[in-house]
Amino acid sequence: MRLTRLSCLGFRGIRDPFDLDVPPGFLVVTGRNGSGKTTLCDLIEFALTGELRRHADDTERKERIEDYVWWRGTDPPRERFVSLCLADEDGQVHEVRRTPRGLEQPGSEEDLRALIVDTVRAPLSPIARILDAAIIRDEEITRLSIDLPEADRFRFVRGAIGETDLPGYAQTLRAASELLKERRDGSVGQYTAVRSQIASLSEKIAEHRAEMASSEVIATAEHELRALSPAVESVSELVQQGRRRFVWLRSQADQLASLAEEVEGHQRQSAWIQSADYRSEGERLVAARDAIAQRIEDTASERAALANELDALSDADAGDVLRSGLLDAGTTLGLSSGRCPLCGSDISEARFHAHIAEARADLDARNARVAAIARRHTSTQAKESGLRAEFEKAERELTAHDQLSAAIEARRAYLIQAVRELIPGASELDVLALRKAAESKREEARALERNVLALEASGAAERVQQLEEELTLVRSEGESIKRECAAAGEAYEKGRKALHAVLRVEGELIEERLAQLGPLLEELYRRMRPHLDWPRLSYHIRGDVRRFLSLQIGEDLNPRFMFSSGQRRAIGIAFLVAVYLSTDWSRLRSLVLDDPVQHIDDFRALHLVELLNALRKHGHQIVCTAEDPQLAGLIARKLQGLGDESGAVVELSYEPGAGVKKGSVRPIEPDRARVIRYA
Amino acid sequence: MQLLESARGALEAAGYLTSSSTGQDRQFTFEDANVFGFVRAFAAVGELIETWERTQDSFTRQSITELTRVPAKALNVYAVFLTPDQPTRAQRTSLVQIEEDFRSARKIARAGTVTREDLEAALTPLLPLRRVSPLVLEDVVSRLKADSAITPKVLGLLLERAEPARVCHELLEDS
Repeated sequence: MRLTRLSCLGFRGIRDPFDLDVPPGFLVVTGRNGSGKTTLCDLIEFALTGELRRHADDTERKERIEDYVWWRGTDPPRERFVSLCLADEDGQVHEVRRTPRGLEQPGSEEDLRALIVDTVRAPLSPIARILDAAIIRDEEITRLSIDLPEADRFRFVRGAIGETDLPGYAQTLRAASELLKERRDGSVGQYTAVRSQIASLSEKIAEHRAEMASSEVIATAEHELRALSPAVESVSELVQQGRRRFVWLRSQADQLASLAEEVEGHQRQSAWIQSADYRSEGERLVAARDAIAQRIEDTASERAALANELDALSDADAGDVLRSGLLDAGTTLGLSSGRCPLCGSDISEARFHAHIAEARADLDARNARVAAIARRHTSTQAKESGLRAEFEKAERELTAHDQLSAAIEARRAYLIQAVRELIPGASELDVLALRKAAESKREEARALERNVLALEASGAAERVQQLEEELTLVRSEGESIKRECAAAGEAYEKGRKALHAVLRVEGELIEERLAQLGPLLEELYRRMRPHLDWPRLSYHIRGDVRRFLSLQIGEDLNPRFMFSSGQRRAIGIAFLVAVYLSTDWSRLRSLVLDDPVQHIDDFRALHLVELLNALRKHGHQIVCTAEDPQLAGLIARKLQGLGDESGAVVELSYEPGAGVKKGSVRPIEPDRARVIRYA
Repeated sequence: MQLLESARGALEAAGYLTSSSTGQDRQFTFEDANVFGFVRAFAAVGELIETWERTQDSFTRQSITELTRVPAKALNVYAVFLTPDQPTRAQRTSLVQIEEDFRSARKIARAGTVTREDLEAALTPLLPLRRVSPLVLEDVVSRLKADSAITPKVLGLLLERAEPARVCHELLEDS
């Protein structure tokens, strides 16, 4: 992308409409001091960046360079603007236009950046970076190169040769590290405060303990409690352990007393089974059981006899039913012609009825006897059942009596185990020993409770207890802060290490890229030939995190202090051109030099012009101003005649009151004529 | 003469036309769209210093007719004087004086021109830029991944351009 046209109105020292075509090859601008040569360089810079960075930091009478961007002379124009046109590789022309209102073409600064640079690879403020090296101003040649502090020089070159995202990563890590540092420092402050609080509390506790030690009762109570819990330090814990212990002692005493009761009952039962009464009772139970068995046998015999009798009566029962039916029929029929309807015998009426009555009475008597025997049979059955139940009960009582001894023995084993749990090593069931142990535990519990109550009743002990509780909380808080502090510190260190790693990688990348550019810098230096004794220039990078780029000649000599002003300018131009050629993320292929040969002798000026010619051959457009018309002619001669790319020499002048005016424009066309002839 | 052949090859490679000078086996002429000149080789530095001016005048006389047809090149004449002979201190001063003499032609006078590098250094003003090449850009992420000081999670946050507070949180989580 190259410049094709520069235009402005009311800009800097140019009041009237100004238009200048820039040929694709080169443009040499000449004119006396104040004729507007520098203004053309300003025009390019202002159109592309919206600012003039030379004198950017200068202020005088509250005025700055911004106040002098637009025409300040008399009769100002109604409209003011700067415009430049750029042709891309396809020949398409793009206008960049600014007015006091801002950028008008293209639509935004982003669009402008997209036009000029490869935005993916470009650093921050890319256009300004390009112009740092693409507009080489006489007054800034050494300031931006050899006189630049080493760290700034490193940043300058880093910006030119393409930045990565690493500075952004470094910025993020730096900010994160700062946050962690603040956090760590905050924690350290908190921890210091907590330690101070712990010291204060410990001091108060010591005071109150001294007070406690001065009371004999409290001191004794504490001494005795401490004897029970030697590992415990705090009074509050001592009191709590004492409470827990006397509750436990009471529980033990109750269990021992209860066990003594059980052992006593057991011993009574053991004595009983050894006695004559126990044996008599056994014999009585056997006799009672045997008597019941005998009665059961007798009753069963009786019931069997009654059953047999009933069976016998049952056989006659069928005849009795028939007889009863005949009696009922004879009664109903009565005598028939003096004869018995049942047997046909002659019988009188009276006798017939007497026989009927007699037969019926006999029948009734038999029925009554059967009923009586049946009732007795039933009663005997019930009696037998009752006796059998009594027998089973007697059997159970006898069994229980016989098993009592084994049960008592089993109970003894259980009780011995229970006693051993409470009194380890006990082998006998000793009621008195158990009661004595229970009483001993109760007495111990009472003594312990007295000591606990004595400590609790003491205000000092209570205060110590509160302070110790507070101390425990503060210590816990302190530990928490300590952990947080350690974590923040560790995280901070990790953040710093990550930051250093990013900076180191960035430095390595820059160093490697610079290594690629080193030969170019050396070639440009040799082309400029600033010093005959020092034909080579090299660079040196030092620093791991903050990096410095120094230039050196010979064996570690600094050209800044070795070279003359003109030689330093020559080296500065080599440096800036190297940086310009390195900005491969830039699409701009125009190098602008504002009077670069001031303070340079003719010999080195010639080398510079030859360098510009080499740049032309490399495809770069050259815009160069020169006060001396002869030098302008020399430059034009050296640059002319490359392919189809023409050039021009334009002369500027200053008209009082009206500002800069464009004078003659002399086109320089390529000359295709040859000197060498071939046969 | 090897030096002369090398010089001729270097200039032809740079796009110059070259031509042997009539009756001169130690000299050839060269030309491109912009400049016209000649290269003359000498066996010794002393000979170079003593005869360069005569050589230049002779060349100018011989070329005057052609140069009048191409006036721009008449002002862009290069006279290159080379010798492999090593100069003394005094001779080096004389060579510089020859180069700083702008009359008639731009002079390049170099002694001790032995290697190809010496030759290219001498002809540098006439040769195109040789050491401009596109930068080889490295894979930054791979470099960072290889560095144990940056954990994969922190690197992930950096790549997604996370806020410092998130990176701070991750560093704390990892501690």
